[in-house]
Amino acid sequence: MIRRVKVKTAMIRTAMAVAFGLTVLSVSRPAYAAPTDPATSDPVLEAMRTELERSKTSLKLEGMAAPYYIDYRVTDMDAYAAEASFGALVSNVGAHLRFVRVVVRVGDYKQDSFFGQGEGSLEIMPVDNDLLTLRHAIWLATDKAYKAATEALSEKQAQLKQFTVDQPVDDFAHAEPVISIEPLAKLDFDHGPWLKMLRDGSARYKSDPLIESLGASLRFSCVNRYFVNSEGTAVRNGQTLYEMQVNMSTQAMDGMRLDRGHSFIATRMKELPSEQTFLDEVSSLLATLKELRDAPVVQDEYRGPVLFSADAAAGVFSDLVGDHVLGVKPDLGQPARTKGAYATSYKVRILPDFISVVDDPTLAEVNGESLLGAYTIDDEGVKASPVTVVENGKLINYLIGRSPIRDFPASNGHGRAKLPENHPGPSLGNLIVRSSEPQSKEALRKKLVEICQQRDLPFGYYVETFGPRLTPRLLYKVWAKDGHQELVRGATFGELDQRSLRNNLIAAGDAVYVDNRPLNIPHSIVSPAILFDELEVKPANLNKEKLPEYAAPAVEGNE
Amino acid sequence: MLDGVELSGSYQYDDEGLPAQRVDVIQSGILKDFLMSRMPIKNFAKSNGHGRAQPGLMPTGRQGNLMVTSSKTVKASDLHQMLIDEVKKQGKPYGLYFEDIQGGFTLTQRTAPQAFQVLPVLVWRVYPDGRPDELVRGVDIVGTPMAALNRIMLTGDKTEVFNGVCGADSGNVPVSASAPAMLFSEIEVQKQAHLLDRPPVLPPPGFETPAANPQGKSGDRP
Repeated sequence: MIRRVKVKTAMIRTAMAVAFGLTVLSVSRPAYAAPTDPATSDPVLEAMRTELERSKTSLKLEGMAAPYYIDYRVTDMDAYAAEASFGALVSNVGAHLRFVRVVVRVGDYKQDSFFGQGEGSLEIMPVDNDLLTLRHAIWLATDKAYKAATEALSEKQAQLKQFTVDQPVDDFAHAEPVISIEPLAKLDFDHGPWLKMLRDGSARYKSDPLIESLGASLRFSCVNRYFVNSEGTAVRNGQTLYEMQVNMSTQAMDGMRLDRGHSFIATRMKELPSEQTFLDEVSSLLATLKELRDAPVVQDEYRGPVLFSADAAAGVFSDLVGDHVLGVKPDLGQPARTKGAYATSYKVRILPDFISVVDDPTLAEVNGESLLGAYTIDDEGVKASPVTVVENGKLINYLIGRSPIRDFPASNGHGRAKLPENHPGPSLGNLIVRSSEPQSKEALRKKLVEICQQRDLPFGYYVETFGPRLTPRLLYKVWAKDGHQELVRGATFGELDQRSLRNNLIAAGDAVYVDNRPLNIPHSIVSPAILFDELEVKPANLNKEKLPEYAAPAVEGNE
Repeated sequence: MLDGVELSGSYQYDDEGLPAQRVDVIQSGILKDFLMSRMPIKNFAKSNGHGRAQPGLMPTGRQGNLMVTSSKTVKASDLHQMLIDEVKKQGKPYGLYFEDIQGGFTLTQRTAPQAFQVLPVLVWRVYPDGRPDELVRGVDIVGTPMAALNRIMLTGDKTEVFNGVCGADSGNVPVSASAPAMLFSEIEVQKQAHLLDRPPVLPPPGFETPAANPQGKSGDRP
């Protein structure tokens, strides 16, 4: 087969995957800039406003309803990513891309075309600021979105005829127009020193011949977001995000795979680690990995108290609470309020009564650490506000975007989008877990030992960090007789779920950990340490892969 | 290089490290050889330097610079008249001249019919009655290779080069194909599948005024 290659779509997918790891990063700056007239100074905004005006006044097909709402969201992403492995650079890529996503709604706020193909259309925008070319992309995306919307409304109405809807909820929430034009963000740095850090960091494998992978990577990105809608909202904000990561793995003598990693994530370059700090972190991870390799394997099932560090607790709250308090509109015809484990838990106790949970995007930092989930205006142009999700253990709010759910008719400023092609939906900002009875680290540890002694258990468990999917990475046995701790490996939790969080969480710490999470939608989890009076710890069912047949290439002076 | 055009399927060594070889695949209409990698097939035990692959994939026998030559040629300028003569002879209302194509493909799986499709972009209707050639759109060439290629009557005397990318089992590799113009006594064409999407509702940016947009407001079109 001979063909002239058409690679536009594939190229953009690849570029996005390489440069962004399929992640778009954005956090708004926590301050309003004085509104200026951007139409004269920013061609992107001018193009958006011109096309919006044209579409508002004349977009209508004969015999079809005109749109009642239109919005344009432009995402301009400039990113640089590099990775080194075993002391050598393996990739070094930069990409600058711009997209426009258009939503056209036909119908009215009560029932509209936002369904299936009516959820908007995406076009690639030029990165050059040529006014006509920018308008061209918006023009075509709008046309496509409008035609799809008229069709989607009929489809939706046809499907709805199959169901009885007892408590109809509006399709789209009303919202106050917001005008906020903030300065554009820019990526500006000298590559050299950073690449050196990656090479030097990943070269530390030389200290341990059994290391099977050691990679150091960075991703610096800058996202400028523009949003205008037919209700009068015009928002522009920009954010830079700097990430450095190190990941390493080895195998224990019995073949068990073990890995460790750490990320440095900051919104300002000056918050990134110095070269020395970075190298020290690599060395300390290598040391714990070595320790882990020599650690005994958990053999027996255990039921008893478990203490989670604040770092580990953040993982627990993220997975078990954070993902389930989003007010996601259920599928067409379903009577539920929302999706997730807490869909039916409104005004019900879901946590012990000394715990409260707030999501506050307006908070820029905690104890001097900047929060990734800080923003002033969400991706639907709604002003962010703090929302108390859980008050004294009781679920009293969900996080809501402009798609209302039962009892929550308006957005509380939590509509945010992942990739430029995704429509904004309810998302976490800064999820902050607080205890009304904070206890010191020592008190929590003492309590752990006390429970063990009361129940005649020789030891309890302490989790320092999690790996993926709530499997413990650094897990220690804390011996009841003298309180000393011993690192173990190969364990997993049974029954670490919403029920245990509600019934077995008995105490929380006074110091918090900031868990900045850049993936999908940048957000932060802020949590204290937590103590469970009973949890199940059992051997993980892990494959024991064969060790490499022969040794790694010899490192000079280390044979 | 062929007639001053650089060929995109040129290489010194193939992707299995073997020197490239010229292979006479078809001689006087008879299939004599295959393009071989180091994976042998029945009766063809050795590579002839055509093991090629896109980076990261396993090489297979692939095209390099495919060249078609002819022993029955006429002057290129006579071909148009010969087409008209053939149209008259067959009593057809018109013939077709395919000037440019965007690509094509052949099904080669054992389980599917061995058929090909060529996607033309510039097609002219050539009338026998002296009317000028007429540009048409919306036809594809289809058929089975044996039946179609046996209908070649003669060729022109001027070779042209198509430099492109070929995609198959071992990925995309740069290739070229060069051939003279060919007159077929018969070829099968079919209507192209296409959607009748409505044109955009609003005129393009920069053409908003009726004067700037000769087709008028496109939404008014039927």
